[in-house]
Amino acid sequence: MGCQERDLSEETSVSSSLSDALLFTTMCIIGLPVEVQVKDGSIYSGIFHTACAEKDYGIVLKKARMTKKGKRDVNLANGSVIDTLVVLSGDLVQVIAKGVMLPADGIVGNVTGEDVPAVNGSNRPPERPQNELKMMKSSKAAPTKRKQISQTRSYNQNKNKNGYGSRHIDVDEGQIMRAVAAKSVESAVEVVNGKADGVHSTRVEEASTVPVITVDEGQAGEDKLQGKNNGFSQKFEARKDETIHGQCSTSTNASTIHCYTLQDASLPQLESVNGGHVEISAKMSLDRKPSGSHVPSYGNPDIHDCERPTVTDFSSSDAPEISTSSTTVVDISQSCSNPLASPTVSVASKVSNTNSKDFKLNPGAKTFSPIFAIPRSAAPPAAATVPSMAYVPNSATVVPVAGAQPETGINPFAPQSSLPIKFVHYNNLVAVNDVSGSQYHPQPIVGHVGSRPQPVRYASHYAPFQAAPTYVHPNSQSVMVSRLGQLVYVHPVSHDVIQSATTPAAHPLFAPSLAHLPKQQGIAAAQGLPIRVTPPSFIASSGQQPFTVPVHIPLSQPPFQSVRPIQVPGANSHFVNGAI
Amino acid sequence: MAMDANSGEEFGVGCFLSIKTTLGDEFEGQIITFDRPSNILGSKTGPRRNIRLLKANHIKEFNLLGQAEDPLDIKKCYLDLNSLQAREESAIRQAEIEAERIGVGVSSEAQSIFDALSKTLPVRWDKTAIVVMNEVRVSSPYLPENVSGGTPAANERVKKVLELQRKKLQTHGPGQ
Repeated sequence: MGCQERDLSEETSVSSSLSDALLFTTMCIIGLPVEVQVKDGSIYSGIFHTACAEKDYGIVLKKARMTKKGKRDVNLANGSVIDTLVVLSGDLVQVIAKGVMLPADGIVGNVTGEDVPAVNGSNRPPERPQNELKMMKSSKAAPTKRKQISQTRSYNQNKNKNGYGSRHIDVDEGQIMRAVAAKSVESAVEVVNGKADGVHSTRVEEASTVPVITVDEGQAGEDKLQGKNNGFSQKFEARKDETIHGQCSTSTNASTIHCYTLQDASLPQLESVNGGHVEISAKMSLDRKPSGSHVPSYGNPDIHDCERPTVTDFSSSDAPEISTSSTTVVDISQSCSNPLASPTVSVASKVSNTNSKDFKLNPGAKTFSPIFAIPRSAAPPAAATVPSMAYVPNSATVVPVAGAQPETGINPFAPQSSLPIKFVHYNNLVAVNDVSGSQYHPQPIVGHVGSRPQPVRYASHYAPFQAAPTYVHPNSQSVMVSRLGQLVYVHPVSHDVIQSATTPAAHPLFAPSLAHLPKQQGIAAAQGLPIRVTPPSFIASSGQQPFTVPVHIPLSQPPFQSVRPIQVPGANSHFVNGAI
Repeated sequence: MAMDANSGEEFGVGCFLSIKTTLGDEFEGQIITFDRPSNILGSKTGPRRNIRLLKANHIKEFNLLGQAEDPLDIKKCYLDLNSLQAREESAIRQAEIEAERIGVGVSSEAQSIFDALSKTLPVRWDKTAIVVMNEVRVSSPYLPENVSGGTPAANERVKKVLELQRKKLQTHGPGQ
């Protein structure tokens, strides 16, 4: 703007000397090849560079060559190019520019015919031309002035760009909204991660504060809030994480689960994992949305699914930690079993989102560190104690929990997992560890341990069993049903495994296998969930499940028994299948 | 009449004039502007207008051919300074490229030879000598025996091309 003002001031002083029409005409031929005739009759051809707008009309040519020699002798080699030729007003006779289109006679397009349209027609408002002319005047005085003009132009362009930028932002938000609305949690998560951190945070906040249903709404509405909350999002996330963690420890299983996810997010490694969790959670939310009032179990199952995949991922990435992660998964399932599970699920999703945001926002994830410490510490103990313990607890609590997990896990996972997978991997790694730790603490390792060994078998079972969900339905309760289905799968496997595993020897076997291969461990974790299922299946739906079990057992067991390492691949495939 | 410009805008904008200059140029055009302080008369001619900025005091005589309205509506004029700048830059660049191809202080024959050689070999001017492939020099008067330098093979090649081109130039005449 400053430039413009200067130009204007100059213009006022200059305007008296040159007419606007001449200025305009002069401008029209800038950059064009012209012929300039001087007093002695010689003609120089060159590129019209500028002209003096002051009292005398002097011009400057670039790359000028004498094309016709005049009367006077000139110290100019024939054909030599003069880089800059200044023709003073006193020497100037005429300037001829050929093939120039002037914006005259109401012709809109003043284009000179050259590639660049020097003059645009009458499109612009009257003010602009004047300003430009003024600019021209100022520019004529010296090249530097011209530069100023160009700068001002560019400035205007920048403004325009800025405007566009804002538009783009809007678009993005809109996209985010769409994504959320669409249900494709993944997309939403991605968007959030890449673009709108604030949105995520807001979402998370909403999720934490509001019940599950509300959470879904919150996601939809979050987009709107994005702009407002961006600044606060980070803070909120950190707070939420903390709060969540605290809640997890104290609150029910479901809450604990959430905490886990949050912890995962907090961990630096977990970034990828978190993404996965986030995706999962998002899926969960989606599931909930459609289901709406449906039994929380649906939401839970989804969550479980999400968690499981993540767990598997973790296992692959991290060997020792993986085992713990698997246990965490179990915990999640438990939470699902609890009435709170549905809300927790939503929370988890939210949490995961926040985590993802945090990662982006805070690579270091300082807030997370505390969480990690806890989970980690928990994990090691869990690993040792869990195996034996896990079985017992699972059996007792498991029934409900396990059932919930299977449900969500397989069915929801298949669709969701496919999309989130990328994210999941990232998230999984981090998240799993955290989760496992937290989960272990409260619930024990037992569950975890049991799950780990079983996991492989479960995985195999799941793949075939996924059909099982139908079986579950018979059970009556949606939650239960889903659980049952999973349980059924699990039961065959888990029972076998468990029974064998229950013995000290069996557990060790599992543990080693897990430890050996990170992937396997991950599988184990996944299996862990199934394990939980198994106990419930025995208890609650033992009757129904049995049918499935026999079939499953043969399928799953062969791989497991034959090769423990194989379990890992099997588990993976199972998960994948489930996801698909 | 021409000198009346000093006392006002005697050259009515929009008038079609036939003008003779003191240097013998004669042209017709429509007045698009007349600037009294600089005594510059702007005119345009033709559909693809040639713009001519003429100093009024070099007008020898003129005849009024007709009259029309002001062809230039300032209020409808718009200039894109960026495009102007870009146009100038590209023009300068092009001019530089062409300028390099033009020998300074060389005969038109030499330039023709240069142009002919440039069609088959990378050439440049080194003052009045043509440098082919950065190693073989062809100095005035640009005969095969003036080829020097470079590897024997390159030297022979340049000689051959030079001979061929000179033959072509002789048959078609220089400048072809």
